This record gives sequence, C-alpha cells and structure tokens, in this order.
Amino acid sequence: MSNAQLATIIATSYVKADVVRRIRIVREYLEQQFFTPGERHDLVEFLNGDNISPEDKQVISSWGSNFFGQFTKENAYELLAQMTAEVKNLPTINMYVPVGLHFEESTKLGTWVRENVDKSVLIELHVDASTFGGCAFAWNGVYYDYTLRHYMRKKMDSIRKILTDYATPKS
Amino acid sequence: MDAITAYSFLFGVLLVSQVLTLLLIVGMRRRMGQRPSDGLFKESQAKTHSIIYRSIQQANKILVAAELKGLQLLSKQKMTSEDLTNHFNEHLATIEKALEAQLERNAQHAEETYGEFIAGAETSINDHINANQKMLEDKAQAMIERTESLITKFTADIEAKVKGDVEKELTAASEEIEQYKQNRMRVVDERIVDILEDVLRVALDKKMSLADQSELIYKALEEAKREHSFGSKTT
Repeated sequence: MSNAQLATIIATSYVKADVVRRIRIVREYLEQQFFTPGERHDLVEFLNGDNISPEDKQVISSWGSNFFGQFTKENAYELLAQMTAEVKNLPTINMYVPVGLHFEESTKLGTWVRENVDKSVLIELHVDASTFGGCAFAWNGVYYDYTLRHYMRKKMDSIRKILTDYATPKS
Repeated sequence: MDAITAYSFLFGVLLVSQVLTLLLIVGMRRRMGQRPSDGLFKESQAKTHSIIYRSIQQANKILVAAELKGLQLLSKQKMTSEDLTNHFNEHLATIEKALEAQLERNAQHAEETYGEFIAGAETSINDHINANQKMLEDKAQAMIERTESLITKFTADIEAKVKGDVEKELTAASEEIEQYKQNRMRVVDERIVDILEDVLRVALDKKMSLADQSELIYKALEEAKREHSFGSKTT
C-alpha cells in the first residue's frame, strides 16, 4: 500500500463502507482546517459533531496527530484522491449475514477475515435474512453458501429418512 | 435259257427282295409309331439303310457268283441245253432259297437291331429323365436349403435388431426415468429445505440472540476455511 495514511485507516477499519465514510470525515475535517474561513475546530471538537458516530470518533481519534500532520493545504486533496482510488482496488469480500452486526462484531469479523483470508481485505456487509443459521459470501467471483440451507442440504439423507420414517405407518 | 434271260431273272428276284425288305421296314416303323422327324427314328433309319445296303451287297455277291457259275456252265459246250436248263433251274432255286433265307435273316437282324436300339433308346431316355429328375431334385433341395438358411439368417438379424432397439429404448427410458426421478427428488428436497428453513426461522429467530447468530456465522466461516473456500491466503 503506497499511501501510509490509507494503511492506518485500513488497519483499524474492516468494512468498506466504514473506510469510505471515514475518508469522507477526514476530508471534511481537512477542508474546515485548510479551506473554510472563520473559526477552526481541532480534531476532538470536530469529532464531537452531530454527524459522527461514537465508533467513528473512537477509531479516528486512535489514528493520532501523526496521521493528520502529514496533510497540508497543498497535498490534502491529492492524498485523499489517492486513498479513494486505492480503496477501490483493495480485495473485497461480500458477506451476507442474517442480522446487522454491531461495531464490535464487525471488528471481530474483520479481524477474522484479515487473519484467514487476506491481510488487506475489506468487507462489504449485506444483511440478508435468508442466510439464517450461518452466512454466505462471495469471494473471487464465487458465491459460497454456508447458511442453514447449506447444512440442511448436507444432511438431506438424514432429513429424508426422518420424513420417510414418519410417513411410513408402523406395523 | 440263255444268259441274258438268266440275268434278267436274277435281277428281278433281287429287285423283289429289296422291295420286300423296304416294305418290311416300313411296316415295322408303322408298328412302332415313330415319326420321320424324330431324332431316334433318323438313327434307326440309318441303321436300316445300312442293313439294306448290306443285303444288296450280299445279293450282288450272289448275283456275281451266279453269273460266274452261268458262264462256267456256258463254257461247258458239252452240257446239253436241257441239262443246262435243269441245272440252271436247280441252281436258281438254290439261289432263290439262299436269297430268301438271307432276306429272312436280314429282316430278322434288322428287327432285332431295331428292337435293341429302341430298348437302348428307352433305357437312355429313362436314364436321362432320371438324371434330370435327380438334378432337379438336387437343385430344388439346394435352393430350399439356401432359402431356409437365408430366412433363418434374416430372422436372426431382425430379431437381433429388434432386440437391440428395444434394449436401447429401454435403456433410454430408464435413464430418462432416473433423470426425472433425480430432478423430482431435487425439487422435493428443495421444498423440504424451504419448509424446514421457514419453520426453524419462525421457531428460532426470536429466541436466538445476536451472540448466537454471530457464533453461527463464525462456525460457517470456519467450515468454509476447512473446505478451502477462500483459496490460498494472501500474505
């Protein structure tokens, strides 16, 4: 990854939507720092704004002053554009889960995926009730079904036998 | 009687004998009912002609002998005319008897030869008919056997073809039935899965916590990892 700031963002963000949103927050912060006339807020004040979730505030705060110190009025837009372009090229796994995941859960899931699939992979999360009992994902262009339906299909012989036994009158 | 008269007499006797022979032969032919156009008759006619020819030759020989004898008698000047006449008559009578006997023998020989020829021809014809009949029977038998063989082969070929077609059709039908069965089973299985999924979702959805759902997600991911669904990990 050529952009050090993007590496920092990726190391603490696992869901692609989170990464895009946090880059947007960074751009808004830098714009009010470099290009907005009038009063300027520091990072803490800016993150306390109404439109920023506690999770984003926690993550962005963790990046430290070193992260923002590398941005100047001259290179801010160029670096942001680079980050946005690189995010599009990062490997992405589409995950289909039955319920919406909390911040902690998505972080845990992201960690698992980084450890077991790809260290720089981003997750695109989709909530789909039909994936009840497990999850499904699309990776490298292939869809994998590990939902309850998948497990039932694996046990189809047993299920069929249960149904047959039930349907057969006992002598 | 002078020599010329004797010759004329002898010639007359010879002519009569030849006419008698011809009449005898014609009579025999009529009795046998043969037609001049028949090939066998031609052969018999040739033989008859041969016999007649021989008879004429014999008669000529006798005539020559008589002539010689007459000449000898004439040469004997000492013999009287009456003796000569008597002697000549006796000799003539002898010749006549000899000729009659010869003619009778010839006629008998011709009859025998003709009879033998007819018998031979009959035998030959019968043999020929028998040979033809046997040949026809052999050919007919061969043709019957060949026809039987062809019919047997044709029947076997048809039977094998029909059997092959039926087996092919049966195999195709079996495969089609099996395919249909598999498809129907797949549809039924999917329907069972749908029903069970709906039932489980209704039964468990409210009772399963987020932690439970999350645990199931990680369980699914671990299984995917075991099954190498993620491929080789990129480091």
